[in-house]
Formats: sequence, C-alpha cells, structure tokens
Amino acid sequence: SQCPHKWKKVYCTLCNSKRHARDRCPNIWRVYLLRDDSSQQQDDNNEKKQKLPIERIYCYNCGVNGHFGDDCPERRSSRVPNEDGSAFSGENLKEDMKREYFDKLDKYLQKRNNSYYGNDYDYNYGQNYTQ
Amino acid sequence: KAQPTKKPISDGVSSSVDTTHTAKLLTTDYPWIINHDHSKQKEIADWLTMEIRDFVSYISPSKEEIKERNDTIGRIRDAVNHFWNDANLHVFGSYATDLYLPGSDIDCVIISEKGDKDSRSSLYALANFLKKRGLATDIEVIAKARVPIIKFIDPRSKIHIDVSFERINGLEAAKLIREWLNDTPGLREITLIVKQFLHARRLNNVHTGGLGGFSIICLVFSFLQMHPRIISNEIDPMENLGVLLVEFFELYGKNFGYDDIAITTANGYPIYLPKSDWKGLQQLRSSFSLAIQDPGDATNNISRGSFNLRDIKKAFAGAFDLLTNRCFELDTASFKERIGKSVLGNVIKYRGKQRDFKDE
Ligand SMILES: [Zn+2]
Ligand SMILES: [Zn+2]
Repeated sequence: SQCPHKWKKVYCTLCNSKRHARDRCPNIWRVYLLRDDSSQQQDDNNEKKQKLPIERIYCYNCGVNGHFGDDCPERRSSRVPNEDGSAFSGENLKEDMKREYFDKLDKYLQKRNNSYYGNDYDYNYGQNYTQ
Repeated sequence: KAQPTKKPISDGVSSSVDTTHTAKLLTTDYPWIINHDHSKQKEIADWLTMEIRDFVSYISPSKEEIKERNDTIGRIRDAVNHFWNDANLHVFGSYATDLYLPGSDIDCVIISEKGDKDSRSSLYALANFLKKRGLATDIEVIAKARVPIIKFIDPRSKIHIDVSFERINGLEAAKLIREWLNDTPGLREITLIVKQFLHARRLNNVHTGGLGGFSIICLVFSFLQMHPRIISNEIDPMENLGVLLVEFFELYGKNFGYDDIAITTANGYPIYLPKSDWKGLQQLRSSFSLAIQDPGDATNNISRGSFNLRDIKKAFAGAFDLLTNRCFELDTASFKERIGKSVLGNVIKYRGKQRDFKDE
C-alpha cells in the first residue's frame, strides 16, 4: 500500500478520467433530465441554431464576462481543489453552442496572452531603465 | 481572543449506521419520505429531485396555518388603523414571499402619511395599545437600534411578530423577490432547502454572522440564472432539483471566488463583477467575504453582516461531499438495500413538530 505509483491505477471506465475511480465518477450524480426534443426541433426549424447566451456567462473565479469559472486562465482563488470539473464549464453547454463558446474563449485567451507579454516587456524595459 | 466553539453537527453521520437500524429511526428523522419511496428511480439525481419536492410540500403550511397567519395579521392591522388613522401595516420578509419555514416570525412594517411613527414615544404608545387590546404578549420595544422595532407574540396563534416603522426597503425587496420567483423555476424549492440546511447549523442568523434570507435568495437566484444548462434552455429546473442542489453546494462550497467576486442584479438579472469594479462597496472585514449588491441601493452590501463566511463555505462543501458520497453509495446498492433510504436526509434532518423550525 506504500507504492508511490499507486495513483496511476486510478482510472474511471465511465468517463476515462484518471482522477477518480469508476465508483466515484461525477457522472453518477451529474445527470440532467433534458427537455423534450419536440419543442427544440421546432426551434431548430425556425432559427436553425440557438444563439449562445454570452451575456449570461460569467466567471466564478475572476468575474469576467464570456467564460465559465472552470475555463478561467487566472490563478484559482478558492483553496478547495476542483479536480473533476464543475457545472460551470463550457463542456456543460448544449452541443451546438460549444463551438461558438470555445472559439470565443480561444480568442480571449490569445488576446490576454498578447497583452500579458506586452506588459511583461514594459516591465522589463522599465527595470532596465532604472538600472 | 476567545471564539465560541461550535457544536459538532451530527447530521449525516447516521448514513453509516442506518443499514442496521429500523425504518422507525428513518421516519422520525426524514418524515417527508413516509409513503413516498423513490428508491426504485434509476438515477439517484431523480430520486433526490423527488425528495426535494416531498420535503418542500411537507414543510409548506396547511390551509389552516395560512388562515391563522392571515387572521393574525388582520387583527393587528385593524388595531393599527384604529390607533393611527394615517398609518397602515404591511407584511414583508419571508412571509410576504412565501419562503418561510414553519415557525418563522412575521415581519411587518408600519408606514404612515406623516412618516412620524418611528419615534420612541410612538413605539411605546403602540406597544401599550396592543397590550391593552389583548393583541400582544411578551412585548419588547427596541427603540435605540439602527432599525427601531417592536417584538411581541400574538396570544391567540403564538406567532412571533416583528414590527418596524416607516421603512419601505423591505417592501420593495419583497416585491422584487416575488418577481424573481415568478421568473425562476426552482428558486423557491432550493432556497427553502438551503434555508433549512443553514438553520439546522445555526448559520442563518445575521446577528451571529450567518447568511440572512435575502442573501440566500440572491445566491440561489444567481446560481440558477447563470447555470449553463439553464441559460441554454436545455433543462427544466423543476425536473432537475436534485442535481441542481448538489451543484449549488459545489459552486458556493468549492469554487466561488469570494475574495474577488461580487454579485449584482442591477441589470435585472444576476451577474458577477470584480469587487474592485464595485464603486462604493463598503470596506469589508477581510477580502474573504461575501459581497452582494442591494438591488435597491448600489452602495449597500446586503451580506455585509455575514462575517462567518468560513463556516458557511465549509458547511456547503460538507453538504456537497455528504450528498455525492450518498449518491456513490446508493448507486452500487441493490434495490432491496435502497428501500426506506433518504438521499436528502444526509444533509437535512427534521426532528419534532413542524413548529420546531425557526427562520431567523
Ligand atoms: Zn468518471
Ligand atoms: Zn475567469
């Protein structure tokens, strides 16, 4: 039982995660009863795809609009770990909304990275200047 | 500095022993499951949904209780109108929003045309009048407080009444909450469960740093109105109360960034905002504190009194663990083993009469 590689054996056959065993898989309890397809199909005919309600998507970690807390690039504020993911993740969106969501998220992360390196450069420049 | 030690919470511990105990213990602790067995549900989440509905209907007042409360308010209102002909009595708080637990106080406010009924002498005059009329016992006049009130017990119904004076913010909040309840399926059910959960742990009293009723409603409202499956209209919350309750505890027990994030409903629907962007946010005791913007006053943080956030968050995280562990345990149990079991009972217990509930 002292084997240091024991963690490697944890594997969930239900969702392919290596973070928990099958008998502790969140999919056991995170089960949604979806609305009847009939009403959705009518909607589909009318406007093909439902629009991503981006104005309702906010991050529980940094408060920014446009992404859910599980997908946040900032340092985690809560000290309680979130190993298996939570309800507030782009993965929990309707299939036809995921693409738009993750495209927007990619753009946001790219922009954030660019400005991050920009700031970093300024910072170094300032440092060199004072030296 | 000495901190009062908290009593350990026994709720949930019984899950490991109740396999050997009889249904008698279960039915006294979880009376809402009597004649409502859902153990044959394929999904534990659906089982929990049904238990939540049973619990809510179990604690909801009977027609007789509703009539008794209305009659009580009617008698006091008549007396107030008689005593001050420019004044009227209004009800607010959990009683006005139908979010009260059995045994809750009724919050009332007296509003007058002259607007002068909040003076010390008015408070005492009314208290004496109600006493003489036989409409109040155990009267307390609290005239010096920030919000002066009279507290008393109605002798016929034994209901506890709080009367405040010349303040409309409680009435405005009640009106807004009724709108939220209309627009947000599941808000009433999950709020009642969370209220009872916090009440059992003595974490719902704002005077001791707990979460008040309005703050609880805001947390549930915000959770439901931002949930990915709800904003995409994929689920009916009333059909998914079980998974949603677990995810409520997941959000506020594990993930919410209390240090940096505030909740606001200024747009009509709830959103997050970085605390640093909230201009006029009053100084908080520590960065780890709940900040909920008052819909009626953008400078007011309605949860500023909830200084015991550490215990509140811990309790929510504990509820998440208890509920999910219960789901894992029941998932592998046989149908025979499941009979008479409760999922919700792992976080909520009910002992004694309905009168033992109290909403502070
Ligand atoms: Zn899994
Ligand atoms: Zn974020």
